[in-house]
Amino acid sequence: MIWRRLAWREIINTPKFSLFFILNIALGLTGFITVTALKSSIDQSLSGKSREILGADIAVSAFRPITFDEITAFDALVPRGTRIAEESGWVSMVAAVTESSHGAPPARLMEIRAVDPTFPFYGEVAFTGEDGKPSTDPIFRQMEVEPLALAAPELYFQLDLKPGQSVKIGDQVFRLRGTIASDPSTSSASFSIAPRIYIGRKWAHQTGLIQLGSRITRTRQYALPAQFSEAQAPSDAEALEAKFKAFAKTRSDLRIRSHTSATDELGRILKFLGDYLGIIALVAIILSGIGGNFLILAHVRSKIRDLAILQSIGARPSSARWIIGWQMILLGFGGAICAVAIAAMLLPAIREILAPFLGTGIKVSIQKDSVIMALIMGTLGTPIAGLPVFMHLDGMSAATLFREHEDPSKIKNSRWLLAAAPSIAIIFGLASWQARSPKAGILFLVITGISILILAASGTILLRALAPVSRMIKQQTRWRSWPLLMALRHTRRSSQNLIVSFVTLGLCAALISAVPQIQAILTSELTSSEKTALPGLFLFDIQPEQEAPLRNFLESRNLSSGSFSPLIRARLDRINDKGIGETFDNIPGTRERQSEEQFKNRTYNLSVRGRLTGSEALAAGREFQTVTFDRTKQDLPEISLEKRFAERTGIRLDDVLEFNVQGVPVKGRVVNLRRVRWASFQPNFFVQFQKGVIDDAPRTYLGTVTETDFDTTQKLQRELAQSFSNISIVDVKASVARILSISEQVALAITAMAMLCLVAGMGVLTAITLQQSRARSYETAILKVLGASFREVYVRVLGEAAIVAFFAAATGLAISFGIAWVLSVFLFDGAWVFAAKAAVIPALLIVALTIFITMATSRMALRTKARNLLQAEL
Amino acid sequence: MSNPQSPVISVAKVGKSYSRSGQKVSVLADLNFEALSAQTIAITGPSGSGKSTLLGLLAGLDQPDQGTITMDGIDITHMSQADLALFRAKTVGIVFQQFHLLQTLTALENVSLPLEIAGNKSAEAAALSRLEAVGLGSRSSHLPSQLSGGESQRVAIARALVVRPKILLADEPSGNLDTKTGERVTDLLFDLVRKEGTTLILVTHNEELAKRCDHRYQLRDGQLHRVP
Repeated sequence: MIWRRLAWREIINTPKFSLFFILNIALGLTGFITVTALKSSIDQSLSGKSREILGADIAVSAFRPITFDEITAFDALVPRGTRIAEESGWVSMVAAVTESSHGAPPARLMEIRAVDPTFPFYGEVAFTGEDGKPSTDPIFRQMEVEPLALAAPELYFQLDLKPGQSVKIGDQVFRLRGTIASDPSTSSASFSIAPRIYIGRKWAHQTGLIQLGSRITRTRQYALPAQFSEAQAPSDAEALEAKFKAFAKTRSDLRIRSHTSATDELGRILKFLGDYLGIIALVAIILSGIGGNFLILAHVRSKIRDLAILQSIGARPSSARWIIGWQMILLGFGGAICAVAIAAMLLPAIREILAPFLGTGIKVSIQKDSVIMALIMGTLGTPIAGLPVFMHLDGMSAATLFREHEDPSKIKNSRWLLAAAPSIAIIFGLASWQARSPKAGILFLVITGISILILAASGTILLRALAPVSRMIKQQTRWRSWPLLMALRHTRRSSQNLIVSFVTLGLCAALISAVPQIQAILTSELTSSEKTALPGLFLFDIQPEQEAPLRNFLESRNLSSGSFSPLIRARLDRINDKGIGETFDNIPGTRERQSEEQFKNRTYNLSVRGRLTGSEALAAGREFQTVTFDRTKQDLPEISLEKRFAERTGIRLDDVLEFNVQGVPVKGRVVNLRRVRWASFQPNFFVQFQKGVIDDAPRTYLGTVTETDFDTTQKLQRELAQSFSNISIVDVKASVARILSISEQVALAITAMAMLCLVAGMGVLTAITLQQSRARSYETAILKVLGASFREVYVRVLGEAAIVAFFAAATGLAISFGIAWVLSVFLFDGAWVFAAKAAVIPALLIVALTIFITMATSRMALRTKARNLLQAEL
Repeated sequence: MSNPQSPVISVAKVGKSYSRSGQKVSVLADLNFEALSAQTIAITGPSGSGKSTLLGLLAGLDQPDQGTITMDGIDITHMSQADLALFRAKTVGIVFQQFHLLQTLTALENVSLPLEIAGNKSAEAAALSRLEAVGLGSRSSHLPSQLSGGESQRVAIARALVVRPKILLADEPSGNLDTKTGERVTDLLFDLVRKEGTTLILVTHNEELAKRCDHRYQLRDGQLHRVP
């Protein structure tokens, strides 16, 4: 086919343009493929981690036995081949079994988990055996046969026990078979109030502790068959969760969680990372699209004369357009192939960087889907993105070739918006595909659309508003300089033509500046500012009279104790003077049972705090009016709620809550919702009262001891257990270190991706600026012919480039704050931070880069003989 | 098809106007003109008189507001763009003042292009022979940027004549060339046209060049006036 051949010839004969175009497309698509591969690996890693944390794909739990009817109903919903297990959990004292007959044996509060032999469905509880060496024994199967226990190290330290010895839980004695080394289900930032001990579920009843009224969590776990639990299909577990929840709609005391919804803060942050990478991928594609479109526009404009010539020698208008169409297809395909090759080369390095975070078992490989998508986008997306440009050709008249003073490339067509529709549809489709949600697709489309409108409007206004500046310079003889005046005049008078450049530069600036802002938002979530005060031990159940002695105890050992937070047990009775028990009417069983279940479901640990701490941020509402409740100024005490707790319970700002604190009703108004920074590891509570309200209520304290070395911690636990036997001590050092290490890796990944995006954006920007500068070379030649000096030409060209770049970058920067805010609200839990520095640097870089490239190309144009430049233009 | 006695080009009552700055400017009005086969006709006239507009209409690159244009016995006035393209490919050759060669194609590729568009299988051989005929056989692989003005125009002539068109439209073929080169190029043009019996419509300011044609017309007030 002649047009294909001509397109090919054109590519071969214009190697610089072809290479430039391919590189631009490759840059964007490399970003897309790399980020998609990473996103997929992170999804896979997250999926695996979330299953390990829950220990199943889906779990149903309750503080009561799950009834036969409920079990039958749930079991009927899961596919054939699903593995099912049960578990019971409660908190109880565990006593050492010693030879000594003097007094009561030492005992510690422990979190007991009675599990089935198949535990855990996902992940592995690593432990050391009686010999102190890592063991691979099927411990949970052995627990089915014998009364064996697997305990956290704290139990051994605090009761001075060794594996092989025995402990007594209720009426049953268990032999300690080993020490837990790592437990995937504790990969959480929220810690249990006591160290964990595993026993066989068969032996749970033998303890005598499982009785009516005991606060025991019963959990029924489901592990879906392999084809359902593929990492790529978390939606199956979510769909099943929805079905379970539909059944349990009237049974609010049943808790249904799938592995995706049950993941804790770690899961939340990994989900954020996935969303963030999705955004980066889209930004890379859009930037590539912008750059590609700009190049196509410039290329087609330069080729319109050729197309007219072709028509004059007998080519049909439509056929002539095929040449450019084929060129776009061939170059786009080349770009996609290059992108796949570059991504294949980059991924091993990225895998190395992210190995500690993703784990060595996780593959970071190019996804088949994204390669196909990249090839389609490169091959078909390129000509589709160029459709608005092709529409220009409709207005072309080959007859202008006979007119010396008319340029066939200067044509106008108002139907470009119609031609842009397929590109808009593609962006929407990609955004929805990346985020797996049409809502996110619409959000991204709306953001981009609004940004373009704002840029077009502000560009028109700003560039036209240069008139007074131009007049002022003209009047001021001291500043009067014709190159500057000419730059201003040209910018003002060609604002229509410059608007495309303005919008393009501005959109690049907006997207590029938004990325580091989002990065700053996420890294502020991940990075702890209180690293020096990281906790090593959490101390629960500190009695008021123990507060001072405990502080003295710690200080005498040169250990720093953080603030002790009061913990007051209370029941939520009324919301806005409406008894909330009414909503629990459907709980099966007697009225007493209902009442009991309601109590369990509505009992919270309240705390008292005057101001938000460094690890907290206001998500909605305002800070407490005063640190201490002032009856003369405030009608009700003020309450602060943790944001997601409020979302879960449906409590809103200004709601009046009434708590039953040991029989005393205490009312308060919700004045703020606060976000708790995940990586702070400081004690935090769902409900916090103003001071001076429940200060006298019966309370315990939660304390922290800053991290110390292993030997000190071990010794400290033993001494604490001896001196303060009622205090429950949980060693959180290992968990904190693990989570911090993960969060630092995630922060590194986020920063690396932001840099990648910045580099890609700057690459695209280079392409755009080069094209713009080339367009100015004709004028440069004329000015040179007219006798302008090197400096004057420079001032004129740079003046225009700098004016457009500055205003476009400034508008883009302003828009980027809006983009970052919208994305942080809709995707990142409203964790917006004003990251001015992070945003301004890329915007300044854009201006600097534009000026630098313009300088370089102008220099080249000035070195070229004017005659050659003018001839090239003809 | 035409015989030597019937007109190859027939322009009847053609009118064309443009809108400039919201005002309608009449360029051609009630224009009539005929050319017989193998005739060479010169059209002169001051700048802005409508010479280029007339050439555009004859080439089928533009359409008249009124009147009819018949070329080689075919009324091209109401032809579709596709048919016009086919018509041009077979019947009309055009030589521009500014050469209008495709800058990314070699001389040979430029010349062979009309044949390729027409679906000719041996386009390259025919193009090379045509290029040799204009004395540029040795420059076939050169790009337009590597050719002088005279050479470029010779390539343009070769391209225009490679399909052996019945009609050749030439717009100031020597306008961008120095006198000597211009003369050489026009000699070549007349030589080839006469050899192949092509009807030539030559638009020029150059009276000497115009005198070399069989007939001369001056375009004035939108109409053609025969110059004796």
